[in-house]
Amino acid sequence: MRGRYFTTAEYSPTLTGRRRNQSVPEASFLGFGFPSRTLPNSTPRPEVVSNGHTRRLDRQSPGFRRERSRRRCGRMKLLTHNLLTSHVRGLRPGGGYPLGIQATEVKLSPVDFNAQFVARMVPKVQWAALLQAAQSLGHGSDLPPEPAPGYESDEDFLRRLHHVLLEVEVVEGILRCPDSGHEFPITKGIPNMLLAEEET
Amino acid sequence: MQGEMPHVRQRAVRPGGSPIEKTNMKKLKLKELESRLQQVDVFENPKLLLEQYPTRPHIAACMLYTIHNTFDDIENKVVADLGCGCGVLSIGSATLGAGLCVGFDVDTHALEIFSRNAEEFELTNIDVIQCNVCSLPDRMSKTFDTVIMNPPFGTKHNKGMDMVFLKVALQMARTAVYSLHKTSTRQHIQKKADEWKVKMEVLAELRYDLPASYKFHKKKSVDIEVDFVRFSFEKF
Repeated sequence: MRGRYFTTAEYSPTLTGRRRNQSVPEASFLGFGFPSRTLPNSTPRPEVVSNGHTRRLDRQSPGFRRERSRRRCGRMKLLTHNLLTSHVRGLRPGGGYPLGIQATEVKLSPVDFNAQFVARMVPKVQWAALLQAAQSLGHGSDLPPEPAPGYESDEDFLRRLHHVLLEVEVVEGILRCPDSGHEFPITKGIPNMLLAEEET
Repeated sequence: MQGEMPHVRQRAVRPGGSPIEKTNMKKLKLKELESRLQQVDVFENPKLLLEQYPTRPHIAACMLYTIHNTFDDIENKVVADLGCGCGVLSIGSATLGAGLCVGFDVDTHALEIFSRNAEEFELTNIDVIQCNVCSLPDRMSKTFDTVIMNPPFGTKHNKGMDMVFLKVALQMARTAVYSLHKTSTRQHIQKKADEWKVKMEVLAELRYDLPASYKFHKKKSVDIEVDFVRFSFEKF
């Protein structure tokens, strides 16, 4: 297992290629490359094989350490927030939604635009909750109060929605249950919805 | 471990006997997916009480490949992974083009490895939530298109855990739930599925090669028989 090869200190979540504007060798460079059309959402990464296991090339690149520490955290997307409900016991039916967001750290990260997926999400997200969440992060002006009819073909609208749903991400903050006021912390982008025994 | 232990013992076989992979072309892609998933980091110190054991890359690849190609339940869908652990299934489905894949797990340590993995794979369509799957509320019902999970089998001090997971999964899914269950419990699950009015299909019988991950394991690895099951809400 990889845990054996990398100590925590040299563990290397890296950001390469597209997003760092580095040139990425063709997938065939690896010998067993993945053409990006069969595996979307992934970039072929430069790797070298030494002593029988692979090592990332860009570990030697300048700014790598800084980049690594910057990237060492997850993020919570607003689409995920839209799906989340508090489950403190004893709330009124339909309560505990939407969770208020108090973010102390928000990041924007580029995500490939997929018009089909975003259009499919429009009727499925709770629009009011999304609007409220976007506003509390200062992105409310990107969205209309209601999706306009014919939104499927309105690329501008879909791109803005895509941005709010998938690219605006909360790294650190608090989710607050609107009914009980219970606070759920978000640390390193992971919302912690666990409750102490007596509250469940 | 990757080098020393070729995973030759796990073989996905349909109940009829023909392997899941059919044509050469498809087989190649399945292999690609598998070798990708072999790079996912797994538990460093698995916790017995949570029945933490990794889903082996071969099994995960076969599952995801079938879900993707036969039922088209991954691409552009919102996928949940209950009890995601280190996230082999989440990362696989994100790799196959899920619109968004959300992992749920209770264990902080597993989730750290999960988010490390997600970054390592440079996936942007993946998110994770720390929560107790058993207490996921009814209110989160029908929020996901597909639920994919490898639940605890409910054998170690937590009897019936697999059914709790299944119940929650069925509440959350709009289209289908894919899950692994011990073959020995198939009849019981069928009974429950009838009771809950869901359609149950055994897609494959797997031999799950469980490597010795805990101290009390005497043998190097044990094969357990596992069903790969699809639950759906179509009319009978």
